[in-house]
Amino acid sequence: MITLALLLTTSFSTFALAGDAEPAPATAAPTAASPADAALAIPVPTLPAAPPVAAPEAAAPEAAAPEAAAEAPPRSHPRFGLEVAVGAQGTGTSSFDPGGVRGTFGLTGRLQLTRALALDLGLTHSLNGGTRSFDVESADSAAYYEDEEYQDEEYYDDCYDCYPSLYASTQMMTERLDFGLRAELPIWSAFRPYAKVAAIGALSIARLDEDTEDTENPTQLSRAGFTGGGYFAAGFSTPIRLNDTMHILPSVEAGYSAIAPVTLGDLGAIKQSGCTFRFSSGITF
Amino acid sequence: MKKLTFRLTLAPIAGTARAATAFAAIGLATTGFAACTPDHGTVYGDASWDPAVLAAKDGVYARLPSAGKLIRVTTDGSYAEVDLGGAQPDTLTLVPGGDAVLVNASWPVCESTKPNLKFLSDCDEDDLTYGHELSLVKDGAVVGTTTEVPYQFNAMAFNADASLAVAYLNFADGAEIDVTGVLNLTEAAFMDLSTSEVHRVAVGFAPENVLFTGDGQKAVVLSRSQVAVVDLASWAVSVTYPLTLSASDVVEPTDVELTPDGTYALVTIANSPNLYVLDLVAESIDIVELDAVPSDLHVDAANDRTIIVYGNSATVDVLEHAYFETSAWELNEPASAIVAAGTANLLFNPGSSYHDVYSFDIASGRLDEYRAENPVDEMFVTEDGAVAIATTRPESSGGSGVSGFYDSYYGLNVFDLATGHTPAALALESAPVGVQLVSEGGVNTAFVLLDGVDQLQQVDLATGSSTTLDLPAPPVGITAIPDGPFVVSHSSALGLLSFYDVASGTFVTASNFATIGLYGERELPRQEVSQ
Repeated sequence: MITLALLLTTSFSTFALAGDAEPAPATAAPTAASPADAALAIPVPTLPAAPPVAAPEAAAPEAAAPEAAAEAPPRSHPRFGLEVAVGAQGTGTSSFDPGGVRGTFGLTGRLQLTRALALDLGLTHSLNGGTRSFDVESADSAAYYEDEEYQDEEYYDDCYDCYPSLYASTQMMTERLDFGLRAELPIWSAFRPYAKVAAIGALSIARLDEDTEDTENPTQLSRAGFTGGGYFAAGFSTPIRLNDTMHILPSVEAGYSAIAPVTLGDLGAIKQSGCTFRFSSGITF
Repeated sequence: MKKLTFRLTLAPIAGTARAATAFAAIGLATTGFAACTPDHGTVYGDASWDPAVLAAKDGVYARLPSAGKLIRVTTDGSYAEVDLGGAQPDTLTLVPGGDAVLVNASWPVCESTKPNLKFLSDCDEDDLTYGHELSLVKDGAVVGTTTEVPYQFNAMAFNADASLAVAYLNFADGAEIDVTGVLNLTEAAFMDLSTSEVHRVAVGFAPENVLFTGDGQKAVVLSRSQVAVVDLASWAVSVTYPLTLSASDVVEPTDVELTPDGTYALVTIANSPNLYVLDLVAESIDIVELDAVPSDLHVDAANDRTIIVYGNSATVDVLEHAYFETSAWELNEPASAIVAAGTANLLFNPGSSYHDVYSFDIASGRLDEYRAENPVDEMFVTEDGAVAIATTRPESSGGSGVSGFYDSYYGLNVFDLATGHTPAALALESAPVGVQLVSEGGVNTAFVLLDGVDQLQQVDLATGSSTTLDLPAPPVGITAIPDGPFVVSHSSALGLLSFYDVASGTFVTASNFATIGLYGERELPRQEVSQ
């Protein structure tokens, strides 16, 4: 998968580094004078030469402006971008994410290097939680099974929910920083596929709490861990052009986050890798 | 013209693509936000910890079933994992005296030939087996391990100085027994706790009870239709006492007591009024026929007598140890259990509808009757034998007034064994889940835990007055560290224990210890089976 991602990025980058692809505007060829025009020529008297007049100061910038334009041609593509994205990431574990899926919300800043190649710096936030149920350990446990109802095996077989359980609220907050390259294939102004590769650093904070209404209860804890990895994705955007440099940029993206498991102290290690989907909208300027 | 045509053709498509992307982004953004909402769904898991902890001198040991770990919690509230080499603790047994804990542990073994097996999930269920071992844990570390004791052996007994343990299979509790390969149902395993050396001895089919003699030289093992005496020097059966002369007759021994001098073993038989007297010196058998099927017997060492009670007969017998003749005392109600109380013995009938409690002093022949307000469940006696308390349970009320009121409550009845009075009959808010008695400076105090009540009740047994000590969570059990504080287990998913020091009146709480190793994938710790 890494090889494929690199190939995609390289191929897109080749197009990106080729520079502007738009052809030069067509210019009309000068038309030659016709013989009819020469027959109608009217001689024009020559006027005496006018005395030299000091050129007005306004003319100087006009004379200088063309020089300046020659040194700095006008910008033909947006330079910066800002994007807001929401999405989901599969984590391959239901430890804190029931169903193994985590919702994400992110912000990405972009520095356009060329029309099609950009540096992206993104911050993604996810906050997921749920409830974890713990069976009550029955072997020799005092009190739990003193209720005669619980001692009836048939009662157990018919009523799964009747097993006594204990519950704790769980929550995982992850702040993820992505830094990488985004290479676009400008095959069409309205549809631009792109590939992205980025390095990831992620800080995760896990919280467990048996009684969220009591801030002083002793059975609550939080553990933090840091991990890293890489992100590879492909997607497409459909720019809406506002002017030469400003675009609104809705995008859809799918990829894979290859992140090392994060160790949360004595809680253990949680898987972080999984497929990632993002839907974003931004502005480039 | 060609160019214009190009624009006319693709412009609406471009617009549609943009619009579709925008709508998809908006619609799925909503989904993304919904996915971001915390608290959606429940993950089900195994028990995080077992509140039936063991209180040893060096701390409290608790199993973490979900993580497959054993931890030790110390009285300062700190905790640490006990390294079992990747094995998970299955059962714990406290060595008498509280110096150490015996741990039956197991670990998964994958017999697949696949390479790079690391996690339990990498192994197919059909290729998964388990290795077993018995470890001695002291001061939070394993000091001895053996794989010679069959893991199915679910009962354990110890000699007087706790230097020797014997493991055997007890079918009495009806637990399921796993048979892997061959399981020998006729042997017991004796383990030297200092060297971890194990001796497996054939003692008869289905051994159910083991008793060590006072001198530590012999072990008396009850099994079906026979009693075997094992010589602990040679690790061989020195004599076998048959309990029947016919091989087709099945005789099930239920209980055994040794006389104070160790000469005789008294054996009761299920559903039989016969008491077998086994002479361990002369190697002979005598049978004493009792008045009824005995429910309990207790050897009173100070008086060199044995007290015998019958659940269906309002009589108590005293058996002397010279000629094994009995003397009978009449009771008003049958008693089925005996508890030693200083120089006297308490007789009562737990789990029945009877209210009477008797204090029987063999030396003086004095029999005092006490009456609990409701049927008795459990009996506790202070160390000095001066005070006894009985927990009682509700009963269907046929009375009125105070009696009718009391009938609907769990209760605590206090009996002053010195004066014969009943100083207090206390009504409890809910069922008692644990009682501990303390005698200090001549003051007897009971600490009572009530089901679902976040308080520890401290009851002065002399006056019946009580004070409450707040607990951080509902309790589920109470035990005591030898010569140390009380330990209260709480109803908690993440683990919660409270240590209560009676002298200082302070609590120390240990919490969240059940989260160790809660997450993460279980690994295959060992790949070879050493058994």
